[in-house]
Amino acid sequence: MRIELVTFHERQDSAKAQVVDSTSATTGQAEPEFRTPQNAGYMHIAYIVAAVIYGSYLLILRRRWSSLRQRQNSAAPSRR
Amino acid sequence: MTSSSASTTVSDSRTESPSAPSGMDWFLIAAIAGVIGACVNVLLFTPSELRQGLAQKIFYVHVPAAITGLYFSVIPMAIVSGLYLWLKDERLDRIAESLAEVALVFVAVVLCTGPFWGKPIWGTYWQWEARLTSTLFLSFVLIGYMVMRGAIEQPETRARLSAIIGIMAGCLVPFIHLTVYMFTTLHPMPVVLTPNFTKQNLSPEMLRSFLYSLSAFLLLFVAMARNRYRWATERDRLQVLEDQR
Repeated sequence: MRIELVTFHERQDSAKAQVVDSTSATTGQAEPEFRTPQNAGYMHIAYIVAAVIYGSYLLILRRRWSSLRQRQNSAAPSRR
Repeated sequence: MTSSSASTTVSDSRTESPSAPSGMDWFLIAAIAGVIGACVNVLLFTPSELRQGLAQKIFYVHVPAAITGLYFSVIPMAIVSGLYLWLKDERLDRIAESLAEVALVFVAVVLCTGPFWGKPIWGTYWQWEARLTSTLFLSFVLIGYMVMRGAIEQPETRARLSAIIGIMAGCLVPFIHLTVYMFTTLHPMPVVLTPNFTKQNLSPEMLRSFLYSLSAFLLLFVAMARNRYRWATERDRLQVLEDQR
């Protein structure tokens, strides 16, 4: 009997699913040759850092527009 | 991104721009939505690489940001800077200024996401090798560009010196691209922008997700640069009005 050991992400790519014998899975005598590393933390940090950088710049753009509008509003009455 | 009180800023009709933004920048909002969609697609629906695991998904942010920041931002900035030196059109200076600032944002994303991919795969966050060091140097050139622009009051001098630095930054990009071929580096060879584009190293699902991410980041870049250029145009127009008073 053979069972499939797949993670959520591996399941989406069925061609890369790891297949091992059920006997070896229970006894632990023969490990699969290769297990995909679970390093989700690095991925999450990288995505969060990218979001913070882009978000910060968007906030800077927004603040610049607000500041420019204030200058324009203060300049407009004085010209009338 | 802008307030609705924009259109009645200056009573002088000669200086009123027909393209003056008067509300939300829907193009920018659409671009942000596209990037969020690309990230959801990558995180939930794209298979992870067998040997690198989930850390490989940093690829879908790191590489599009690098391609956009270097090839679609810095090189056009250098071309526009060269055109400014020839034509002396202040709109070209504003375009170059906008491209440089957005390029710096994208290069910052490249430099900040790369180490989190490098640590699990290379075993180190940073290595002083040619690709990484030259990209860091480019970011310093772009920072210097922005600092120099803020330090010089005289517009023509500022634009001329900025154009020279912009051209220098553009000359760095081909060098950065070739570092992995010229030197022994820890950084891998390109997997997408290879000399033989028809022979791809990515699986079809990964290539599809990558192209989606690249399109989304390109759209974000165009939206940011457009928004930044419009702001610079409004700023300069207001400056002219204030100087006339």
